[in-house]
Amino acid sequence: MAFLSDHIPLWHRWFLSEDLDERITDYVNVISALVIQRQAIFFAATLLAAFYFDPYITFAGYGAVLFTEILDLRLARRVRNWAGGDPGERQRLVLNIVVNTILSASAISIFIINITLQQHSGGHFTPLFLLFAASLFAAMNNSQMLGILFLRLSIYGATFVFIALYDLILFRPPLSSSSWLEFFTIVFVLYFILDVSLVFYKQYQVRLRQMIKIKAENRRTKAAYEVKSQFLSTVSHELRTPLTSIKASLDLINAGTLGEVPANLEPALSIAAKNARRLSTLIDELLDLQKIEAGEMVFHFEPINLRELVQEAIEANMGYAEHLSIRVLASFPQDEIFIEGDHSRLMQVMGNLLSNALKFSYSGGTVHVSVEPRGERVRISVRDEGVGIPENSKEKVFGKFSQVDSSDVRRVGGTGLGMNITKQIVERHDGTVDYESELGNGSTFYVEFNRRSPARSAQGMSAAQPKRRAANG
Amino acid sequence: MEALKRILHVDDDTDIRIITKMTLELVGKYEVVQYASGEETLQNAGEPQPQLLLLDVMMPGMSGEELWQRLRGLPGWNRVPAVFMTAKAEQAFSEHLISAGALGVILKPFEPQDLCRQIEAAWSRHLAAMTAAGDDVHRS
Repeated sequence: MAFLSDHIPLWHRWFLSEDLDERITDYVNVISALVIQRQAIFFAATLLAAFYFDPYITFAGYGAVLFTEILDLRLARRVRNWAGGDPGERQRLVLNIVVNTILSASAISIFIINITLQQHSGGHFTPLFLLFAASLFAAMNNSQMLGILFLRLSIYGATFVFIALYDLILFRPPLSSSSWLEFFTIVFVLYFILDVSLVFYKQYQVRLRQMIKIKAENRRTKAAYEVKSQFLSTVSHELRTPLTSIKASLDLINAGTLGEVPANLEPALSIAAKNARRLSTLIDELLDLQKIEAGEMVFHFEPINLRELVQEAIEANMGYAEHLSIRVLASFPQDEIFIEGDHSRLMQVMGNLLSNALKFSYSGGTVHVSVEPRGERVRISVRDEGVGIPENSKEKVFGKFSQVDSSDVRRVGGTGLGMNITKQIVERHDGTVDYESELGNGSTFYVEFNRRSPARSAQGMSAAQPKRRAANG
Repeated sequence: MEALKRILHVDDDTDIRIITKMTLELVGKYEVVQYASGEETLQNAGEPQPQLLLLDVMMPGMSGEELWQRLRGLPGWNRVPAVFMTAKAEQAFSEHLISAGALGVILKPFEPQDLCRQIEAAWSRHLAAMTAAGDDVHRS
């Protein structure tokens, strides 16, 4: 590339600046965005000129300017439909931009020169000021491609010089006349415009570099994320394979399938089996956590009958409850209550709440599950009469890997992830999860969701549903 | 109703093969033939034909899915149903296997009692489907 650049003439190099695709898109976006401003200025200038000068010439000039505007807008549309990358198309677009620039700058210049020519006395304040406005506009908004910027400013610059020299050539005034003062002033203004345009150009360069850096960073992050995802997926598989053998072996032994288990081996084997189960749950939860935080957890929403869901969850935990000698009571309202949710994930949530309640209950105790409608929402509460949770533990309870631990609280196992996953699943259902607890008196965990009607009415959504619709959309 | 007796099990992990065979034979009382890879299966599978295929999914070389496709290509093996075992717990993946025609998907790690229960349930589903298909054939 360095070799090549030695042989490309400077003017050509301007048109081959790096990130040309980005610049072309920016250039065209600016054109589209500022259409209204430009039209307003053109129209105002036209009205002014038409009133004070020959209207026909003025509107002819305006027509020419409008024509170039249409060309620009068509070019904008073409760029928008262009996917980028094709170097042939890129060259053609740049060429188009060059042509459009020449045409539009010339049209504006001719319009302004027309006014100048129609002014019989010196002091061409109006056309000069209009030209200044056009130049400033270009300086601020045409920073995308240096070559295009200079092309346009050159044409305007030539117009400036023309206006500046017009009176001087026509009348040949002495150096002391105001025409010469105007001439020098115009030179000063030209320099000013050039300076300002370079300032804006530098700013644009900085912005562009930052944007490119951000995009590259974004791509890198996404790639790293992919790698991590793959890694976790592979790791989970690798962890589960030996765990399968461990768990199956221990379960076979403990079930007595391989023969009677000697009493002295029972405790150790039971511990091994229990912890193999823990490990399995931990892997599941880690994967769940990673998925839900990556936004990759897929939910299949459907109408859920809460009574059925809760009964199903209680049944699934019955074995555990009986093992701990804890009674589970459920109470439901008269009417069937429905919510919109993912069945298996909600089962996960209910399972988590129930197993926590059972874990923290005393043997022989009771766990109460209830479903209560509350206006447009419904609350599912799981109340235990167990050890309770100390004050100010909300963060620990819903946080990751931390479990509420104090000398008064029996630590009964669990990974510390279940509650966090539950919270995230519930929140993805537009619900809330929280608890009330008193040390020594037990805790009540509750989740709340928006209700949905069991069947949509024939007319479509009822008035009570719009908020939920928006939330689920 | 035809009872399930003969199962063909393929898994690349030695220990999983041993423990699965133990489980299937002791708990489910099945007759189990095992291979360690897709290649080995294709080379050796023969008489008597198994009634059910129990295939690990993630295996080096030929995957469980691929093996199943190849087995179905063998004469007379087209009707043998397959149950897949996988550590990949993604719902989407299981659904993909089922929609490809798998009889069931069992997740690893499995509980021994549960494994046999799931296999029996899958077998019942298979028999029900076969009966329904048979009725259709007779009717048409």
